[in-house]
Amino acid sequence: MRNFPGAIINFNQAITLRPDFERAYYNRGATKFEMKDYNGAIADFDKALTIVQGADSYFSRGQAKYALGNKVGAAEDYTKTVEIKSDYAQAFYYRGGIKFENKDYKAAIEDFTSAIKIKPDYAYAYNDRGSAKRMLEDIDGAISDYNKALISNSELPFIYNNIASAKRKKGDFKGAISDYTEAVKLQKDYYVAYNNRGSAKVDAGDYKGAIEDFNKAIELKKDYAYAYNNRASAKYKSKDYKGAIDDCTKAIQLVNDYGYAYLNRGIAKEMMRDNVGACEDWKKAIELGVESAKNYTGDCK
Amino acid sequence: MKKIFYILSILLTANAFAQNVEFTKDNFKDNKDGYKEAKKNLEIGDDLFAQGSVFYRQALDPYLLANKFNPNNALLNYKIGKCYLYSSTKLKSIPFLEKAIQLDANVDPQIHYVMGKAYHLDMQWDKAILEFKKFQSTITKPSEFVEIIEDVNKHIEECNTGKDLVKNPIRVFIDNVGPEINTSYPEYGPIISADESVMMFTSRRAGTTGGGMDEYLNEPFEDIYVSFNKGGKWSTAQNIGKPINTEGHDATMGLAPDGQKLLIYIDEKGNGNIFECDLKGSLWSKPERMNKNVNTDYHESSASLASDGKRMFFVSNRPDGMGDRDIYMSTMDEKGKWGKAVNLGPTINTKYGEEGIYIHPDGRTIYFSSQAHKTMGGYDIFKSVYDEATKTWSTPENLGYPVNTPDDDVFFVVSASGKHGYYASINGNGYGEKDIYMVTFLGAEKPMVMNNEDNLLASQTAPVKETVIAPVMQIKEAQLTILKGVITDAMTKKPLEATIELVDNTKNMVVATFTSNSATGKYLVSLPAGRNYGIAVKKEGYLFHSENFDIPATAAFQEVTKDVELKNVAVGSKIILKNIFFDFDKATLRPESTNELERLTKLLQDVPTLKIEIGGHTDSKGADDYNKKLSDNRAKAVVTYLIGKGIAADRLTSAGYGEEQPIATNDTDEGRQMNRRTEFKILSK
Repeated sequence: MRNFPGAIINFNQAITLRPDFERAYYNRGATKFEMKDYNGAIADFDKALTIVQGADSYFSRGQAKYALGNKVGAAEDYTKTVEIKSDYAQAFYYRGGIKFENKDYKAAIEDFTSAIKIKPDYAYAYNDRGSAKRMLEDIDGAISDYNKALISNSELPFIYNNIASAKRKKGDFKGAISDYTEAVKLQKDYYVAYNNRGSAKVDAGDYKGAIEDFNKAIELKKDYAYAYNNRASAKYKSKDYKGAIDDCTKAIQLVNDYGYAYLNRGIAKEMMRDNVGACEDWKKAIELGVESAKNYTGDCK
Repeated sequence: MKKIFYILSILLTANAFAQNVEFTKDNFKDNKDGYKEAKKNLEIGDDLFAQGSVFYRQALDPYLLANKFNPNNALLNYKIGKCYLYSSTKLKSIPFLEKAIQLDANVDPQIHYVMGKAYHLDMQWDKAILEFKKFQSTITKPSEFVEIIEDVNKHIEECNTGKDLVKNPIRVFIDNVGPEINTSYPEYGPIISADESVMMFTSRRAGTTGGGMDEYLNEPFEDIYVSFNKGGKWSTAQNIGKPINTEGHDATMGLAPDGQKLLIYIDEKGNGNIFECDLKGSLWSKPERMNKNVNTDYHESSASLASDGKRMFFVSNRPDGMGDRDIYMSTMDEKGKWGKAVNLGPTINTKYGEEGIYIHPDGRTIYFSSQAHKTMGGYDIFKSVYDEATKTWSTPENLGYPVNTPDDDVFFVVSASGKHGYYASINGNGYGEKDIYMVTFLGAEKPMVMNNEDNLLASQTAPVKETVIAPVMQIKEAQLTILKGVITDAMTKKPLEATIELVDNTKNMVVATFTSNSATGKYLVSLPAGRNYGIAVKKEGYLFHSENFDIPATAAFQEVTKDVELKNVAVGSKIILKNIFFDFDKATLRPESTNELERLTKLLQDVPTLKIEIGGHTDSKGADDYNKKLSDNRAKAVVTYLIGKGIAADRLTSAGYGEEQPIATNDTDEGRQMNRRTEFKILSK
């Protein structure tokens, strides 16, 4: 069992005895990071860096800055890290992550590739590079990277989920369903994968199976608006228009500005011959930024 | 449990090995009276059966009585099955035909063919194909049965088409139009005005004009009925009465989009002809047989008027066609005479039958039924669009299931909006016999959007939402504007029977002329998209009224209500000339103005004492002086045109008012457009 407060006391004592003890500052910073005292951690890493320009201090400070939402500062620290230590795989990896978040997928791929070159079994880096490729619509490249991630570590459920989603995007619904199934085998409460598998089943025309998956996702996460919205789609396809309306309504209750749930509810209402209700929903969806609803309001008064 | 199996096996065995029981005395020794009665019914049925398919329905009753006495006669079961195939309850044939085959598969050489037809109607595609193939295998000398082999192959092809169509049904709501129109008697042949405010249809209901009965069908003669839609509800249908309905068969054919002209079918000793009737106020004129270019000694069975009133499409089985019934078009000449019928050609017409023609108010889309093309059985309804540029009809497109079925689907009309279709069908949910149904076309399925998320970044626990680009589903609509309203006298507010002239401004051509109803003043004009229309409402003794509609080719369907008040030729009356156009920022008259200028010229010629002022007006954009000068020059340009046409200069004055007399706000594009105008004012008469 880790005793962070005790460790802090010890590092304090060490620093009192030797004020230029760089490692003591670094370790106290790392302990504060673990205790989620990110500002305290940054102060200690700063101090450590005034004594020694250490790659690990820059990297750790980058982590703390990221935790505080300072992505620019974090990226700068990761850059400093790899300037000092060019084989620092994690620094490349995390910097790649920030670039991914900034939607600079090409640059992210370069960083993930650098991380992989240094650490050829870096499953996370393969996964994230695969995701960056997916965002660039290079679905085959994404699947290839996800597979490489699985070779390095076949126990990570999210990789199965991601590979499945890439396959679904390619229209390989059977393959997608199979991989989502692997994901939920590895992580029984993986509601995201249940929801995704449900969607793949809708795509494949297995509406009953889809509803079961969405039910499971909702059971695992009661306020999962996406699963309600998606279950509405499966019910609609099964011609259970009332059930679809009820599910959309639930999704809207959970997320008031859920534009697609309004769009979907309007579509289901049309089939229930409730044109007035459908129009109201489509107009609301347009208000919430759903452009496609504009094509449906031609007959609305 | 064993006992149940035993009983079941006995029942199944008994069924599987039921024997054919002939109608002979020996087989019914213990019920001689019953046999006598059954034999009598059998003979009555046989007499009717022998007279052909028209009498099959009448043969059914005695046959069913005979069958009740002896249900195990293969030939009787076959005949009952065949009779049902010609009734309004065709699917009742199936158990009888199945039993006939079970009792004796060779009872009739055509048994498998007839069974195939019954399965075909019931959409049991694979069973039908199997029966047709069984029948084919019984044909030993194909060269002697070329026609029937072709027919069987056609049935097989139709079954395969049916499979595809049923697998991909079109999205529609199909609603019975209700008891205001439908009764327990047959209703069919619905025709509608373009705005769906009027429906006429044919019915064989009790209380037909003259009270006569059709001796073959044992049903009342056909009469035409009318219903009006107010606020989305149909009024109780009324017999349209004399002079349209007679003591014989009177059936609907086509209704002009504005509801002012009706085409009806009158059977003249077996020679069906097309008659036309005009609505004069609230009364229909006496039906008049259309000329010999249209009607022949053959059978003309369906007709539809184009929205321009100058083209009529109709069906005839005249011998110069492509086979059976074909669709023809006749065009009205300048004298108002219908011209020589032109066959629509091989894209539309086939060697099989074409029926039930309907031209949509857009003037270029036809709906018709055909036994050929890609039908799923019997007549199916197809759609084809005329391309003005290539002068060709598009390949007919099957309207799809469930509008089309393996049975005959004919006489289908579509509203101007293209959203509703009307047709007759026998449906278990109806009020009895054939009823009229409204089809609401929903178009392609509107896709629902699902949302998903993934753990795209391994180092983060929060999943990332998938970016969804919602598919855009375009809703197809008829590209048409319906302009309708009421024309009245501006002073008395009384309805007026006025002439509405529709001008294609680009071609400077009058494309159609209509008349408003004298009793109601109502008018309706169809304006297909892609043209700039000038509309002039004229009546003697009144100043004409003009409107302009510029409808781009991509414009969606719209219904515009425009009531028009015609002003008397009185001093001080002002009329806006909405179809006078100038080059941008200039006083040069554009050629599209010609029709409007000619109307004005004619008015001045007709009333030679009339003195008018032509006034030019601008919007508030630009400097006052500039606007005044521009409007003055434009007014002068009109005056110059009129003088050039021989109107005395002393009858004409011009005035440029610039932006001084706005009739709308200058803060909007629409308002500014209204303010930019040319008017004329009566100075003296």
